[in-house]
Amino acid sequence: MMYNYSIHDQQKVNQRVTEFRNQTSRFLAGELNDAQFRSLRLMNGLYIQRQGPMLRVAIPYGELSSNQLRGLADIADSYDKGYGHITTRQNIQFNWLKLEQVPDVLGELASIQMHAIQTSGNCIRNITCDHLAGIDSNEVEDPRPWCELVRQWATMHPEFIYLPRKFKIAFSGSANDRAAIMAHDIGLRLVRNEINEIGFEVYVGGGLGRTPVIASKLKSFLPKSDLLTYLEAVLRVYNLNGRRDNKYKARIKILVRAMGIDAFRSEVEKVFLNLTPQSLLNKPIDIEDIKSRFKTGLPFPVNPTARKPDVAEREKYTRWLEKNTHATKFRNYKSVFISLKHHERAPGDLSSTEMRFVANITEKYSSGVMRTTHTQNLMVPLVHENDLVELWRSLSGKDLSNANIATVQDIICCPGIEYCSLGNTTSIPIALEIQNRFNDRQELEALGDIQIKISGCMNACGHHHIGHIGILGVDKKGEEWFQITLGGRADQNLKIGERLGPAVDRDSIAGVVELIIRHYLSHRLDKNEDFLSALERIGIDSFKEAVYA
Amino acid sequence: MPSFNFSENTIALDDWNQLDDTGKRNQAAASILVVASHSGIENLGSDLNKFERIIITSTDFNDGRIFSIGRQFRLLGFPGRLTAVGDILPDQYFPLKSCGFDDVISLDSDAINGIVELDHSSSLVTVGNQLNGDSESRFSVGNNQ
Repeated sequence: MMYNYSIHDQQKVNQRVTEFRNQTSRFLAGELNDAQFRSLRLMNGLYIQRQGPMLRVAIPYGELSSNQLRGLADIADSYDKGYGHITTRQNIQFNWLKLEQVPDVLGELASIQMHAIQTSGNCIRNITCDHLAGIDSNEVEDPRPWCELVRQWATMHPEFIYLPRKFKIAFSGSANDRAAIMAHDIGLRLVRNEINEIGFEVYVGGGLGRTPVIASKLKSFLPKSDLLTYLEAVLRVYNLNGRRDNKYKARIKILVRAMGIDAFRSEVEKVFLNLTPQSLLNKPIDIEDIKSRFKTGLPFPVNPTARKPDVAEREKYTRWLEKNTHATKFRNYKSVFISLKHHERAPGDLSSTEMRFVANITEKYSSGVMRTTHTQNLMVPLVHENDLVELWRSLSGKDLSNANIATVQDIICCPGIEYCSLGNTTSIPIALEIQNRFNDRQELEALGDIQIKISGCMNACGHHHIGHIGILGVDKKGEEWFQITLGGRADQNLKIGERLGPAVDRDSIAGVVELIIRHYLSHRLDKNEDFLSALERIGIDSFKEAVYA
Repeated sequence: MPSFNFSENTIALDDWNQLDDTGKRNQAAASILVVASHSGIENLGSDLNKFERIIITSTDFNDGRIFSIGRQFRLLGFPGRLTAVGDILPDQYFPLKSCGFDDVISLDSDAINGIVELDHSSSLVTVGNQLNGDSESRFSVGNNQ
């Protein structure tokens, strides 16, 4: 079960549609100039990109219903080119819209309880979350209700919609960080204190981009009841003191670094002490009401007994089961990943046909709710083990059963220069070329978890800084070159990758990545020594010599 | 629409801060304080009660400090009128109202000496007439909170 809009939520998105329709009309009539309309359209997720307007639709903390996915398919067919793109912040993007139709698109989104509010611009962006929230056995508490609480508070918050720069918040419910919270402006982890109360560990000032920074701990234990007042204090200090003279120095990470974490904390505490929950603007509904909307209903199995694969299917099915399913805290239920990484598909893309198919199978084999992951895949949270074989067969029939989750083929990749006006280089063709060098299934398994992340520019939407192998596209005198970093980590031990050496040209990059991986293979102690461990043991210079010799 | 002459009874925050003793501040005739949106206001404290109106100026509609300063004044207990002046879009009237403002003077306003009153009795902020002169057209923003 996922959160369903209250009357108030629906009124809010409806009102925003009306407002944006008015703003678009005024712009097209010349009553708003480019600069004025830019701020307003960004607040509604609308970029003007290379191919045309691009709309980023919010998928709050990655949860999506089958009805919503069908609605997105209809939008893709009616207004776009029949597909959408899952982003590293769990949203979905449409790249081929017409400006004058965007208010209509927003209207259709509102009819399925969706919107594009604050998915871009200098405001609090989509709240992201661990994709295993609510189903992981190691979780302290399900973070989704808290994501929803913060979403309601942050959406159209009157004080914080013209911040110095964008502001990203991520939640984790366990010690295993699958949401990269330490790379966010605010990272929130649910923890227990010494007397077993549950509250939040608060991190501030993380971020990727031009100046990658790992977040600092702001507060070791924040009681749940103080979450919104504390966030208000942080945002107010940032809003008043963040730089506005240079957009590349305007993130909160820069402010925290300039002030020092202790001084920043002190300022936040000063503001926080004078706030009460009663004084909050934009109060959300009660947290217990929100929690009640997240009660998990376990889906009934379609098959009364477990289906088994045929002999001819066994090998492929077993591989898929191992790679693309994950145990949950519910006995007999697994979560199922649907990989959107395929050598003939841009990473994270899916067609409208596939959207409708996934919506149908999610209803048939689960509870009609699915999730987007920040690794640009889809996930069905709960499927009974009896139904896994049938589900796999259905997915295979649509070429959506690629058993490559958490492998070298599971590449995170930004849209790149073909789609993004900020891009310096291509990125999607690089990802496909690398994937194609590792199509042998046995080799893929032998390699283990190697996370490759590709960004087409310094803005790091592909999270290259925290890839085991990170690739950054740079423009050198009009030519595409690629810098490589090694050793980044996106988990609870977040680490920024170390630069390998001089940039590599476009024709060589896929081959160099293959060389790096084969160097690891030939130097690892045994199959149990993963890429990061081998890198730490033999050192980056060993890889440097292999690449640049 | 009422108009105001802000040159009388007006003092800028920097000048107020230079009145460095309570006596001088008590004697000051100013009832309107003018504050730039980048100013720090923490030291105003009980001085707030001396003013019937505080004007906060903003030179760039993208600069969101005006919203936080408005909130700060209300959280400090300022009971008088808060007026936002500067480069302000009509689309910002509702958030300004929510942050405690009573009036807006936008540099883009056709009514040069006019003030847009943010009606606290209504959940909507309506700007009529100023955008295209059509008395029937309205630009409404807001929500039903």
